[in-house]
Amino acid sequence: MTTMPKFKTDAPTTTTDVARIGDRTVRVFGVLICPCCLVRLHATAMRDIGDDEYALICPRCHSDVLSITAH
Amino acid sequence: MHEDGNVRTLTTRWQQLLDAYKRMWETVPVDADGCKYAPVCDDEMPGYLGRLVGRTVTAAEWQAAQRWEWEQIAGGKIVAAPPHPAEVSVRIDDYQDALRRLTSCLVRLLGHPPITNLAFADYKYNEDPYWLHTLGELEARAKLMLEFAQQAPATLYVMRGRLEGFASAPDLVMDEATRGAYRATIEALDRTQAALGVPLAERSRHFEMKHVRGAPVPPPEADPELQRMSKDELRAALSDTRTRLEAVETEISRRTSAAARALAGMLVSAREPLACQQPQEKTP
Repeated sequence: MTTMPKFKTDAPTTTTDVARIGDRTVRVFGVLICPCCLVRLHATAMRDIGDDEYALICPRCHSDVLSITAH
Repeated sequence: MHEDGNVRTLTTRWQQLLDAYKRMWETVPVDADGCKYAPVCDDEMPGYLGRLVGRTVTAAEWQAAQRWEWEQIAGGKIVAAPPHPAEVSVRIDDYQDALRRLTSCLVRLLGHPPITNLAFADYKYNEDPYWLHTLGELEARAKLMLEFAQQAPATLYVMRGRLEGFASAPDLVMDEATRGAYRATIEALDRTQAALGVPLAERSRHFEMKHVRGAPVPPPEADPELQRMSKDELRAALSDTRTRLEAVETEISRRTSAAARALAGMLVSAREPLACQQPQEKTP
C-alpha cells in the first residue's frame, strides 16, 4: 500500500472540517465521501433547509447525502 | 501559508499552480491511521473506497471522481498533468492486468508439483540443464513482454498525440507525398494500437483524402516561410515516427512469435520426456 508516512507534528494530521448547525459548530473528523459518486464532501457546505433541518448536498450528483435535524 | 522564500518569489501563475496542487493533495483521503493515500494511480484505492461505501467501486469510477474534483479545484489551469483520457488509461490498465495475470499464471503453472516434478526429474536424471534453461528463458520472455507492454501503449499514445497535434496546426498545408506518408503513419499507428488494445484516437483532417483534395489553397496572408518550415519539420517528424513505428511493430511481432515458439517448444518437449522417462526408470 502506497501511503505517506505519518510524522509526529504539533499539528493534527487528521483532516477536520467544520459544519455550522444552527448556533452550534460541529467538528467533523476524517473525510466525508458521497456514496454514489465518490466525490469528497465538505462539511462547511452544509445548508439550512428549514424546519431546523440541515442538509449536505453532493456537488456532483446533487443528491442529499446527509441531513441533520437540530433540536 | 507559504513562508518559504523560494515559494514567495514564484510568479502568480506558479503560485496558482502550487495552490491548486496543494488543494488537490488535501482532497486525497486519509485512512484510520492518518496516512494519506497516494493519488490517482493507487491500485488499492477502489477497494478501500468500496469498503467505505459498501459497494463495488471500479478504478474508472474512482479516477473519474478524482478527475472531477481536480477539475473543480484547478479549473483547467493545469494542462500538463492529465496524460491521457480516462478510457484510454482504463484500457491500458486492463491490458497490463491481463499480462500480469498471464505472468502469474505461468509462474503458478511452473510451480505446480507435477510439472515441477516432471521438469526437475528430467533434469535430475539426465544431468541436463535444458529444463532449467527453458523455464528461465520462458520467465525472462514473459517479463520482457510485460515490461514492453507496460511501456508501449503510453509511448505510442504520446507519439501519436504529438503527431496529431502537429498536423492539426490551422495553417498547415500538406502536399500529396507528405499526405501519403502521414496516412501511412497513422494507419500503422492504428494497427499497432489496435494490436495493443488501445482504442483509436480522433483523426485529423489530413487523414481524409477527398476532404483535403477539395481543400482551398493556402490563405494568402499566411507566412510562406513559416509554412515551408513547418512542412520540413513535418516531413522529418513523419519519417522519424515511421521509423520508430516500424521498429515497434517488428519488436512486437518478434517478441510475440519468440514467446509463442518458446511456449510451444516447452509444451512439445514436456510431452517427450514422459515417453522416454518410463523406460529409464525401469532399467535400474
